[in-house]
Amino acid sequence: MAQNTIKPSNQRLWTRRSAAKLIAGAASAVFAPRIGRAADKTVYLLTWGGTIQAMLERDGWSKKFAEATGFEVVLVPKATGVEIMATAIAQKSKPQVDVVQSDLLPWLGGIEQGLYAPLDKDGVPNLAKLYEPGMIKDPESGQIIGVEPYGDIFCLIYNKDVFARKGWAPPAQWTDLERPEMQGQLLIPPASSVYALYTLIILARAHGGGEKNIEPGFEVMKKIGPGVVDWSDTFAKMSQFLADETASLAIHGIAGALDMVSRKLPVAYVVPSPVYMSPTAMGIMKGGPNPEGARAFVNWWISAEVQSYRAETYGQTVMNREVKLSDAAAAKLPSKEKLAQLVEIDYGTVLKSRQAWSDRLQREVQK
Amino acid sequence: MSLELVDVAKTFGTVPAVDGVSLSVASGEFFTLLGPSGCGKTTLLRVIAGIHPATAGRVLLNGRDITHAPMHTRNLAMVFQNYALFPHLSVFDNVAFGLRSRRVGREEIRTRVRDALAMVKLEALAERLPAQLSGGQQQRVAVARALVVRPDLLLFDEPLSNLDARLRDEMRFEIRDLQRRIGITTVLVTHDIEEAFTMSDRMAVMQGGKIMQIGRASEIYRAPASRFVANFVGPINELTLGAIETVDNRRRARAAGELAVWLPDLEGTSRAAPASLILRPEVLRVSAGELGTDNRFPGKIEDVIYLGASSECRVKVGAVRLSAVMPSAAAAQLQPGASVSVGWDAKDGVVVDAG
Amino acid sequence: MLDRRTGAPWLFVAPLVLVMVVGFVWPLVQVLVNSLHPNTPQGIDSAQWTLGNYARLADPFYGEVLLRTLRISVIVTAISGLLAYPVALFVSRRSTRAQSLFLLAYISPWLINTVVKALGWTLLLRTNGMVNTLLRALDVIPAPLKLMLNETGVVIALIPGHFMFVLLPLWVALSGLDPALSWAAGTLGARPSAVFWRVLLPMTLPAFIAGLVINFIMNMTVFAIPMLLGGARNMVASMLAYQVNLVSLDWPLGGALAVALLAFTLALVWIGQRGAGLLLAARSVRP
Repeated sequence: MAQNTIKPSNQRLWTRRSAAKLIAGAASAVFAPRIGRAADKTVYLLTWGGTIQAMLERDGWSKKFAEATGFEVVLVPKATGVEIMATAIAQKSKPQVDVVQSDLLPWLGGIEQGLYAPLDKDGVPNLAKLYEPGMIKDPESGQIIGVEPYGDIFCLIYNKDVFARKGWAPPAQWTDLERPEMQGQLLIPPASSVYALYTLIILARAHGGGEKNIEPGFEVMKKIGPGVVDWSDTFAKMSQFLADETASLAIHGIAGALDMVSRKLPVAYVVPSPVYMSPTAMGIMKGGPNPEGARAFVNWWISAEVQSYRAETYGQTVMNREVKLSDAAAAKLPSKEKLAQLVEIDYGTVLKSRQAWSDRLQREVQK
Repeated sequence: MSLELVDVAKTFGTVPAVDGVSLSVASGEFFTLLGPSGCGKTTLLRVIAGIHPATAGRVLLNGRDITHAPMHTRNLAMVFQNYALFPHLSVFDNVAFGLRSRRVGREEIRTRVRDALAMVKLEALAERLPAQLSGGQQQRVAVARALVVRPDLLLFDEPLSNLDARLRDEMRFEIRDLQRRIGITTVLVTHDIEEAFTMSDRMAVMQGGKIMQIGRASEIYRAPASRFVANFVGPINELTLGAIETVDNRRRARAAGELAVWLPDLEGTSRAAPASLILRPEVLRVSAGELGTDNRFPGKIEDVIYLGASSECRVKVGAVRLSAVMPSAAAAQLQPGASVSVGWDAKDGVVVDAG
Repeated sequence: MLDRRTGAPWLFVAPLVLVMVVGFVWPLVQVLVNSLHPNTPQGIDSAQWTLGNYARLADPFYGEVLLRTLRISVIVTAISGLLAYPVALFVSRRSTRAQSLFLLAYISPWLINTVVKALGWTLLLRTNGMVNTLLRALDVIPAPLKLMLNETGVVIALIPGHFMFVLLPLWVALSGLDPALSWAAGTLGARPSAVFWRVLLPMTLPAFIAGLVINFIMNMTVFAIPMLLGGARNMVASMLAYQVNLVSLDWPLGGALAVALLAFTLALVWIGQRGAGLLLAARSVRP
């Protein structure tokens, strides 16, 4: 998209050369890529703001990174996973960031666009410490092109005050979303979001379907669609509606649920079986300005130190085998037994159907 | 239709703009409110129109108390200083406005508007918008718009001040003529003495929200009730007077500290306050020879100023400077520096309270 | 065209022209060009040209979104229009000092960040929000009203947010009017209501319509308020544009959508202004 110069297509239109030069000069100043940056020690990280910004900038972890590797990290924050990917794809031809981290599903979309550089254990030694599912391979070459540093386990979050007052049994399984008394109480992420696709898959699987047979999922979604109070696009909205009793039952991730609990809101959460996770994915931009620094950052980000902190502080389920959780954190997070029930998603199918499913959800369900 | 104001007052906030005005205008009379800007004349006119409600007093139109009547019920019409024509309406629609408000029938509107426009000689311009007219034409439209509704009372607020001098003279007579023909009771507001004198039957001179004097033009000019009125309506020579004494039934005083002058007879009034003698320039006689006037003094001509038909002659009598105006033919014989006699008849002077 | 004599004035506007070209015209051209290329999983295929993106807009779902956007915009503009004259007349008849205070009050919603404003509205309108709490405390309503997550909430929040766009031009027009015009009409026998309909309204109609048009365009393009107060279920055009461009990453379709919306809004504005022109012309026709 970036354009170095605007060439006057018709010379007669610009009889005054200086005017054309002026505009062309100014335009190139605006559009030209910033140069001379590759030489410095800065790593540009494109991902969410939120907890990552707090961790790096407020809690001093960017300093720890500099001490550990000699590189500086600069955060390029975006609000959602899809915005992160939109930014990455927009600069595909002239990358200005080094590392891209987003939700797995939109991140996978970047593979087709050829966004990511391959990783190996020489450049990123900590790859050796990851669980096998923590590594993402290019479906064609089989090379490792990304990592899943951590994931968010899906759960049902409910307002326990309302449930107690109304005498409702606390939710225990995914199909509790369909309970008649829950209609008019539900909060589900909107059709355009990654979490809505997981919700669709969870419900399809709960009714004998799956990624390759998604129809049962749509049937359930259509049935409960009218009972959804809001298709909340941010967790902040969801927690507000749960807290003010606009709704009482939501599907989302543990990280958000723990955040609500820590804010003393009257909510509880439950992780039904089988267990689903929305992983976060991280990769290195092909042709980025600082590939060496990018590898150093990915390696540091999946180190036991960083991963422990993410798990302890933000309730994320991490992929480094060497992470040892404190008892308090372990109590809040799903047990090993629970994690053993983790469902493996057929991302190849999901990726192909993603847009169609989103469109259908939007048109047929989210009305 | 007669108009009567009884102790009318109008206060804006704490500022009195009109302060206890009483007057009556006879049916068919052309009455002028004359005064310098800020004297309250326009405010008084607006109170009559119902634009500003009166703070106190009563407004009676033909005996009917309209003090608190909304303006649209008063059946009067007003011509504004800037004419206030409706810029989005044609000349025809401007003139028809008041008739439509009164729900007059279509046919009658057409006839009456045509007649009104004929009266101000604008039949040909009925389709124009106000912006396409000259100042004088706009003025005529405003007059036609006011007259077409056959109001009980016609109000003019400085209607000629936006016209150039020639047109102003012309419009004065045109409006005066129309008013006489229709016989409509009219109140005009102006600061222009000539306008007031040429157009009105009677006038009230106002200052500081109060009426200083009411009368015909000649009364106002010849017998001003105060120094302010005298000064406002024309040039004057003013001589401060010492104690007034009566000699042989005639009254005499020392003027400007040095001249013993005979004063006009006054019906037994004696003034306690310090008084001034007011002399219009045209009552003074100047002659190289003898004068037969009641008062006469020797003087020296300082200057003779040619003004066209008349000339002004400035004469110094002792330390007192007097200005006399006479036909230019008479002034031709007078030369600056010449010794002359200057004088006037006692009855031509006016004694007022010294300001 | 740019000879020496006319060169100097051009230099004065050059910075603005430059900003417009770089910041507005050029991206707009890009959007238009994008809308004519097909989208593929590998990105935009610049080698091929197609009108297919525009054909995809025929989807009834998009029609529904457009209709909702239009419905909300028209309702907000209509209510703002109804409120504008009484408010503008009231304000224009106050003292200069009071006028500036009133105007500041009406402009102030615009001075607040739109997201903060939208969040403020959720505090007022949500189930246990201030409005519902108050109404229930006063026993006006038995159960909380649903004041958000529907079009009602969007309309409620948009009216004060965009009211100034109708109010300001109207206030300027009304306070610029010679008061003698109203007095002339009144002394000629027009009741206050007739003064309004026959003098004030026709004379300020162009400003009023200009205000309505601006208000309408603002309503058509608003994002944060429908996002937060309407929710995903009540999607409006800007939310759709966001979704297509940033979620689906389908820039060609997004381009087609943007071009279609621009054309649609401009057409409505043109119709509105032309209608007003005809209305004004009709008023000055002789009997």
